[in-house]
Amino acid sequence: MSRVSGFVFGLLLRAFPAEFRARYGAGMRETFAARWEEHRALGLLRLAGFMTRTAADMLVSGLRERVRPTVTAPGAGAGWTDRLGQDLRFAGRTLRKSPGFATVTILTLGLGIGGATALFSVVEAVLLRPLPFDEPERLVRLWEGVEGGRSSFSTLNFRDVRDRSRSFEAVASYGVASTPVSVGGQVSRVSVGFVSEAFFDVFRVEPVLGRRITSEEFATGAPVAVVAESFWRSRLGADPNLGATPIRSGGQVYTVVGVAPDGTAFPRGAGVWTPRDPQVGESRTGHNWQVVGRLAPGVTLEAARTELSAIAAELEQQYGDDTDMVAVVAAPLLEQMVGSVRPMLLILLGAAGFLLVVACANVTNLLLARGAARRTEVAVRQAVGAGRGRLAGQFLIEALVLSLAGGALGLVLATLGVDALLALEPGQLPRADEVGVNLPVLAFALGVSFFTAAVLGLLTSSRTADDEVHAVLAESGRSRAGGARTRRVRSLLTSLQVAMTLVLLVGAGLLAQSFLRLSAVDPGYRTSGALVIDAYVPSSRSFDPDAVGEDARGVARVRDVLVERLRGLPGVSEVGITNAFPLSGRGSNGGFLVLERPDEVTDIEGFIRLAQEDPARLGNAEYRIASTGYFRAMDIPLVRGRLFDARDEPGAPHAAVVSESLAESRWPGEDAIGKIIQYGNMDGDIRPYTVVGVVGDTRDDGLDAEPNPTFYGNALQRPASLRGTFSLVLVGADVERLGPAVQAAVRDVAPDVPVQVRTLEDIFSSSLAQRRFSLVLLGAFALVAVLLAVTGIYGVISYLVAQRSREWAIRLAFGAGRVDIVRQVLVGGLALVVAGVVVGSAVALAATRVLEGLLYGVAATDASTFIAVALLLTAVSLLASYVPAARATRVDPALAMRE
Amino acid sequence: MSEGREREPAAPLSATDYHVLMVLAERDLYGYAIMKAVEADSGGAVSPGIGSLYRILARLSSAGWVEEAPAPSEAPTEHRGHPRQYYRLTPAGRQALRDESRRLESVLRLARERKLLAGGSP
Repeated sequence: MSRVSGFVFGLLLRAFPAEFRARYGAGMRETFAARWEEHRALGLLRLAGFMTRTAADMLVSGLRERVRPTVTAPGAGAGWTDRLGQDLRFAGRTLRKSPGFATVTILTLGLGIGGATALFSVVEAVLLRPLPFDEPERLVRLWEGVEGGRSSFSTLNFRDVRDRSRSFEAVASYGVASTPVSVGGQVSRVSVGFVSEAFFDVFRVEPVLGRRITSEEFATGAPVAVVAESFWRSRLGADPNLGATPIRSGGQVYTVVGVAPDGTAFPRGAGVWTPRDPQVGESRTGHNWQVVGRLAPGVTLEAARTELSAIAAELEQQYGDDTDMVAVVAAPLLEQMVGSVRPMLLILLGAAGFLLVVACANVTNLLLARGAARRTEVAVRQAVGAGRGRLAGQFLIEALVLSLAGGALGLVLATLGVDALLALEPGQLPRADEVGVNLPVLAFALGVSFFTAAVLGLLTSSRTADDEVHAVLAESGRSRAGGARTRRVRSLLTSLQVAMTLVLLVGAGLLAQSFLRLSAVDPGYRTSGALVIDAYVPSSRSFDPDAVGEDARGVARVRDVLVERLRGLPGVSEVGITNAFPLSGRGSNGGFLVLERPDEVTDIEGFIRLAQEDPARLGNAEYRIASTGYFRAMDIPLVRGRLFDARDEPGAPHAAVVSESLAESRWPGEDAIGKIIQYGNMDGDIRPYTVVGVVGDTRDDGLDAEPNPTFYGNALQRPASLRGTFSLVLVGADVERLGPAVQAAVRDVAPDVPVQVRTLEDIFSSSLAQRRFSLVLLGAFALVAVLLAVTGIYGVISYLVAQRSREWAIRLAFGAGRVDIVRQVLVGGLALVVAGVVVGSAVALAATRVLEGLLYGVAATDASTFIAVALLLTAVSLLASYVPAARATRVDPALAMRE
Repeated sequence: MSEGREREPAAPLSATDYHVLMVLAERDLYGYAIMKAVEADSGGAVSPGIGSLYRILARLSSAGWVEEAPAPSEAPTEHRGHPRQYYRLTPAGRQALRDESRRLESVLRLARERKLLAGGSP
């Protein structure tokens, strides 16, 4: 048995009354030691399970023994209910008599319990709660396993996997897009799900009104839609006659046939579901579809995976190089949705737990100080016949009252805190809409409160009741001293607080360093002083054809007119256009061919043939379409060659610009300028590109992601990729104030083009939001912990100083220097802090490893952070000790001696 | 209840009480050995926690069914310098165990008659 486990069991034993312990304590310890060894041999997990069960059993049995003793001291009388009532009344009375103490205690516990409860409510809703569907554990996400990772499904592979697999009750594919939807002339962006047949079977969603989409409608891609209940209420006025109001989207008029209940929206936030076009993307390599399935009854995920891998092998054999799919990847839907935020949330919950420990240590210290002050009262009650068990019970009840009050306050703080948390959250937290204070959260708060009460009660009652009656009464309240053991416990608790605080501070420090380092990274483009307009121009019919012409030509007109209008706005010096703005996640990438002659490839078949014959010609890059103005507006520097200019008119050979990393990685030691590139696979245009310039690298996926090799085609020559959503960027004097003017211009040119206008600064800043979120939260926990630790140290040192005031007085009277006394007090304080710092550093060294995934450019064991935090904590602690130390020197000898 | 003490184990006995009496009917044992014997007898179905076990021992002791016993001569009498406490069944305890066993037997007989056991129809 380790010393720690022995110590813990000793604490647990305290749950039992002294009489019981005296008789059975030794046997119980021996039994525990033997059981511990037995479980230790079975591994850490089993050992942890054993400790948890033992702790619960000891606490419950101990409490039962106190309530209904099997072993009693002679003369025990009154029934337990009477005693409990008395104890409760007494606890209430004593706490009312010292409102300051009660307030501080409840506030401290409230902060600790509130923090833990708030984080728990997030963890519960996001990680623990099952998805809001029938038998959600059977829902599975599927991907094509491709070389080097996983990818969305192609239409044909999806169909084959669906038809050949027997492991699923239903499998469906879907796509989702934030799309302008018009109802009665009012346009707004709605998340629209384009779904295949069986989609609603997978989720077992039945409409609350109307009907599902039929198989026939799915087969023909009929213009019908199921809408979410919230959409039906807000946009369709909750009209029970569903067919009455059609909705328009992407040039299509849809008839609403059903209303899906709220809370079952999948993909998250979807408001409208329509059949996906059955003809779209009859391909094996166009990775366009997300796939979900529901496992058949009795089929495990493992069994399904086995079957899927066999199917994938079959398909690969059958189609060879025509398919990219080498495997089928399957994962539980919940895991896929929340897996990425799990580490961050668990780390924050852990941090909240540390804060709770600090709060508990602080309150225990307060209770001990008060216990010491109440020794006379305790001794008197003991002298008139109160049993030790009774007194200990009294302290337990008091702790319980305080903890429950703290828990209630904590719950209030948690409710407020969760709102604040979600407001702070950058909108990247899955299932955030499900977060709230509910029954499991209440149970958690209550459980934490009870646990806190048990810890506080056991620590304080055992200390206070241990004193000898005579000794205390003989002192007759002359001093407020506690026993040497109490002093030791208090010092220990203070060091514990310092240790836990240090861990939190180191964590916050590491995150802060990461944040600073990341902020210093050059993204390769301007990060402020620009206005970014995301516009969506549907590629077909939704436009009034008379006004702007037809299809792509119409789209181009709208875009050109818009650009002209924006250029004319006051102060605007440059307008750029691109198909995928940095940090938008909209960009696509793909393989290109390096040609020897411009006419080497004349059609897509030729492209594919050449790629297969001579793979050395292949290259891969992020594919962008941009205008010259884009590079100027975004401050992306020209490294060599030129940008697009007047030479590159639509009829001229198509010009391209590549990023430095693409030039270096694809043509090492050569000049990229003049190279001929075939990239017709991206937009269907088979005319080759000639590289005319090299520009700087950009970090399009965020500051913490390396720049991707990027290819830029000329927007004037290849506008096809600008269909749908594109971005405009505006720079110039005071351009960030032009939001309303931009909106007005858009309304003027294309009233039903929805646009989103944001400042570049906002976009850039929200790319760091998740990091900021973790940092702010961990920082807040650390700050509260520091405050609690400092007050804790202050309290303990004050107490020690008060205890020795007579000694100081005598020494002062005999001519001791004030500096000596201050130094002595500070050394006492320093000892506590140093012990805490040493232990805390060791714990932090182990604990901060879990942070590794959230760090950037700094190691989890970064020495400078550890040293800085240790020094800071020591300095603050010394300051907290100095105040009582200075007070010690002002003791009036005469007064102190007389006390 | 006006009296806060548990004087006697309630009849019928709890499964754990019964098993503890049962293993002590075999031979005198100390705490950990009782726990292991109960687990073995019940095939792991009954596995009391440490606090629970000692409360049961205390309760059975105060009922006069179990008493503290000297260590058997062949067994180690000490554990890390502490005398190891053995427990044994008293005659009253043996009687209680017998009574409870009879009661269980009659219950079992009833279950057989009603064809609840050995493949009988429900």
